[in-house]
Amino acid sequence: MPEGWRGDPASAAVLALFERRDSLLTAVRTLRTLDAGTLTAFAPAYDEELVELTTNGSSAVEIAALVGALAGCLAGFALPFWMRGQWPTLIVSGKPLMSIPPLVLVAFELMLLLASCGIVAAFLRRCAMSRRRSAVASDPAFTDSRYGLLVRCDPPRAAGTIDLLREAGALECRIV
Amino acid sequence: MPGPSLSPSFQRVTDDVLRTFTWTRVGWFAYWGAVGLCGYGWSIAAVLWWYQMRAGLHVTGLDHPVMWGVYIASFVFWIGIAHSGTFISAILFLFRATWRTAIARAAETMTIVALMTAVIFPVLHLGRAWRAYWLIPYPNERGLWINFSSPLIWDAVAIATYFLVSVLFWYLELVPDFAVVRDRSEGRQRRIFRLLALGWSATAGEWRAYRKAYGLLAAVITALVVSVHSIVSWDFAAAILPGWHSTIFAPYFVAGAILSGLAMVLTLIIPARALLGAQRYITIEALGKVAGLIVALSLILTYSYVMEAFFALRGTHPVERDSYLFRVAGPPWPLFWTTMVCVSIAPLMFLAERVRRSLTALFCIGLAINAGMWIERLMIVTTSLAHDFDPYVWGVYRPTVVELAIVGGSGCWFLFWFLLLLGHIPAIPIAETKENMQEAERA
Repeated sequence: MPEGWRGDPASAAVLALFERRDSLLTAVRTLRTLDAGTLTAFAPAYDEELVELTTNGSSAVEIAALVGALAGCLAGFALPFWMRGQWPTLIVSGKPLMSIPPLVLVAFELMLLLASCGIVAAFLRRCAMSRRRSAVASDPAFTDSRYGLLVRCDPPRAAGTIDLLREAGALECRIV
Repeated sequence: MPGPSLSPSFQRVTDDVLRTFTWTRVGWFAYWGAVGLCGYGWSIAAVLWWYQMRAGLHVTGLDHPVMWGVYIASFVFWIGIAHSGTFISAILFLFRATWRTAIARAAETMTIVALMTAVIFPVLHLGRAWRAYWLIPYPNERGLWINFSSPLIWDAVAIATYFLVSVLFWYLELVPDFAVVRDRSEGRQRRIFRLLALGWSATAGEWRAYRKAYGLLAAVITALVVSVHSIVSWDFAAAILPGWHSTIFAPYFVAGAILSGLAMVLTLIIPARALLGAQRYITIEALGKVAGLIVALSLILTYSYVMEAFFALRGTHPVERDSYLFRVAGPPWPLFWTTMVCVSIAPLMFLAERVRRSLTALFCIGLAINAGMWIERLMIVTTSLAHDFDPYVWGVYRPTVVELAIVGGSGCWFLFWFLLLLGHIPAIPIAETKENMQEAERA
């Protein structure tokens, strides 16, 4: 077993490097058709087509944003109301104690703040998950100029997978 | 038939951007000389601030009836400057304006540094700066909480939110670029960028989460752009003073903020592109488009000026009319007319393509707009206070050398942090530039 390999000993992982985006997309489509294993694609820039092909549509980012926004809005109203409850008879500048319009501003800003925190937290969580999945194999070239594909498959299918990847135009294939 | 491979172009982008991390001897001296000079400038301002705290606010020109002066004007000005970074990064991203990519990083960095500069001014204005923490809702021994109905608290909440969200937005976009630097560097630089890249490995799953997060943050921050400067404008509009108490203030301030910020982008990016050698990416066409936006915003602002004049002169409020005439023809007339020339007339020169394609003209007009916008803020803040309802309390505000030196020092503070930050991060968004190339190839 290679050093650093933390995956299932019953499966193999093949990492392929591609110079061309269309070669990678061809490889992904072929492997998908053959149900060759679990695919993780790498790209130096966001690519909508690749993302749609290799990842599922669900994301925690929107839900985290919604939860953060609701929490922020609630906190924006609850905090001043609770604070004013501490001094129920203290009237400042003749203004009503529980005036809604000024609190809308506070609630709006807190809503945006906590929504943003939720978005970033969900993004970081997704990155951590992705990191764990691709921990066995990555290549510095993926952030620079090359595309990549990690295929997790049964060990007997690894050789066939390598052939398919080479046929699709992979520059380099290695078992990791 | 497959097209040419993008790998060599991608590599070139990486090489070009990473080259900005390595200085030539002249570039190194120019960069650190500028950082040192700015550091010296704000150190002097810090000493003067110490003197102001020891001596009291009488060393400033603040006196009855004008208790808000250059500090509050500068606060509003710097908050305005902070708006263009977000405008370029978020709003233009939502409109898929790809030309913004090359200038987005510098503009976002400018946003953060401008906010860092803006928050100093209310503290300076306090006099007793050590009591600034009273704005924070914290449990104290008296159980007395802050007043959420006060516009000053709205400011604190809005600006703190804007700063935090801007930092998150700026950092989020940097994560893939930090990973590029991590993978191409060694030693201490690699260790630092490995931490900053948060383990980014460029998987499709990460890109999906990144794009969703970026798009949502862009939407959130767009709402913030509008709300923050509206709230700052309500510091004035919520008062009953003639010249301030106006429903036009929020859109008027937001348009002015974006205008001044775009002008500051020109002022900063034109020297920065030469210093960083980024002429291939920060093109004259992109700067010309910024100039086009400046014209549009200048026209909106001019429309606001005309409406302001119309309401004051054709309205039924004699004090409002008198206050307006005081601005236009009274002792502060140089402020009013300089604003008109710099904000309403100078940007119209950008209508000529020859001007939009001249770096010198872009830089000089950008500088003039910035000067005009600062003067406009000063005019709004001081002239209404100087010419109130009661003729018995009319007065004139004259800033002292201490105030002006501190304001000058704040400019050095801004440039100091801007240069330091931009010199140590990828100055051009690497991943987004590659994405644009990819999109162009697909198209």
